[in-house]
Amino acid sequence: MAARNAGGAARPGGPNRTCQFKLVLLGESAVGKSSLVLRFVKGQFHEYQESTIGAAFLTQTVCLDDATIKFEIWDTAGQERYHSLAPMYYRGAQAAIVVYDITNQESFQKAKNWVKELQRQASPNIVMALAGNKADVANKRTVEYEEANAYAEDNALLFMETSAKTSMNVNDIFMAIAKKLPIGPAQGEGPTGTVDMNQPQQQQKGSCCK
Amino acid sequence: MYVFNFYPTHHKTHKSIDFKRDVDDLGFLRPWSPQEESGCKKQYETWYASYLPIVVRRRCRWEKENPRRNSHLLQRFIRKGIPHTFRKELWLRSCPSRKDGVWQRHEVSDEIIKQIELDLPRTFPDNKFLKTDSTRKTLGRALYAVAEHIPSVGYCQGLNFVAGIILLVVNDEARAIDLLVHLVSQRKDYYGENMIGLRKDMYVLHSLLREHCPQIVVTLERLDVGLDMLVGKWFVCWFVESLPMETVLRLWDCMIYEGDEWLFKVAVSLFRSNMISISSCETIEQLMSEIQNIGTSKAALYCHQLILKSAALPITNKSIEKLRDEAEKVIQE
Repeated sequence: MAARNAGGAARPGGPNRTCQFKLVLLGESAVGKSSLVLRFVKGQFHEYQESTIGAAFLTQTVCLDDATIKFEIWDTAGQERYHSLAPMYYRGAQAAIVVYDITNQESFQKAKNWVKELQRQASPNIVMALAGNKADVANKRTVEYEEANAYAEDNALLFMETSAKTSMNVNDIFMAIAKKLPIGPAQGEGPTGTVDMNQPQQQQKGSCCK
Repeated sequence: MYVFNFYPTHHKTHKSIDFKRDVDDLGFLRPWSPQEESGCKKQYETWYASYLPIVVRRRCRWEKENPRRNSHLLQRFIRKGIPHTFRKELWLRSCPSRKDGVWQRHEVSDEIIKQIELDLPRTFPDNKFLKTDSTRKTLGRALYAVAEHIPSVGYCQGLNFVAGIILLVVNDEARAIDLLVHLVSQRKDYYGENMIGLRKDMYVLHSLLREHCPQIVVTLERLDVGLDMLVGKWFVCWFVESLPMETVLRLWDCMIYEGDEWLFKVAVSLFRSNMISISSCETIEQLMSEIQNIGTSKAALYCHQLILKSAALPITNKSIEKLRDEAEKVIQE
């Protein structure tokens, strides 16, 4: 613990800092949660992504000017009955992406319920984003951009329409979240659970770092 | 996640697996590319070289001794593996038929039908047999039958994978559906609206781990992770997609004949075999990676040894039921 503090204090905001954040994906079944993660983490897309049972865990790192952000991503099952397990996944999460399918109005309603639940139950500092996925099939759209955007503004959410298939806005939404996360030295050991680490080795091999 | 879904062909005449084929008898794709001399292929070949003689020997014993005449003998034989040719018969042994009107029919809501339809192409999407339109429809009928006969379950994600394996192994729509409905009806609270059965069993597993490998429990508490986050899928899908296919089938042999205690026996065995690497994890990321690696670990691939080791654990149907009662009280509070 002492060593970690020393590492953070020696170079506050230094370029070698890696901050880890827990991020959870929530949303109705088959809206593309796993596909977004797969696109972001592995750059892949499967037309038929297997249904997620329980939850999947993946990590990905993004580089900001002053820090490296490592996302610990919990990709949850979408079916309603798995809902009772969800609090474990968003408990202590510093970020959440609530996903809906722009061709499915019901999934947007469900997304709103998730936002409400997070506002009530999750950490008060959680950075929340709303992703309207399947933007590549905009001709089948039933949720208007303006409607979702207005809702996001009212609730102070980041908002983007995304497509895991074409990769549109996928990295962008994670980057936008990364930029909003508390990486300042003050929050380094704060109640948000951010962990500062001085890990030059890790940055060398991180392929995402330009 | 990658596991050895590749199912070895156990024909009597085969002395080894035909590694040139790109799909196995159950329609799963070979997990390695044909040209590449990959580590996983070697690992699989080495295992199979040691496993094939066991398969051949068991098959001879089954044919010679007909273990069906005595239930103790049968249990012993099943634990040592049902030969592929007898698997369907043994799985269906005490399974009633829908034709006999054992189960009532109930109305199925459009919402449930929609959920089932969404998952049909998302069930083993690469499996050669399951990706055709007609087998997807069969899968749909199987899941519909569960919803129709067990209204408290309706449809629960995860059952699609269980149903898929049953259809592939039983290879007879009517009897496969009988077996699916039969097995799910024995575990209604697992797949019902709030999945209380799963939550109870995670409590049960926690208690068993505390007894059999306390270091694991210490690690989970230190990292503040619940067992359902780690191994919920093991229990919802009865280890499908979490362990190699042959291991899954060997486990199902025991589970179908004896009961759910087998899920716990195997889970505890796997945790014990990987205890040192798991309990030395410092971060959640390391822990999750260790848990995912269990599926490709030697302990998981060497199914015969895993089953025999699991059989020896003092975990019985009675002890599980006792812990489940305890769990019910704790969860209700």
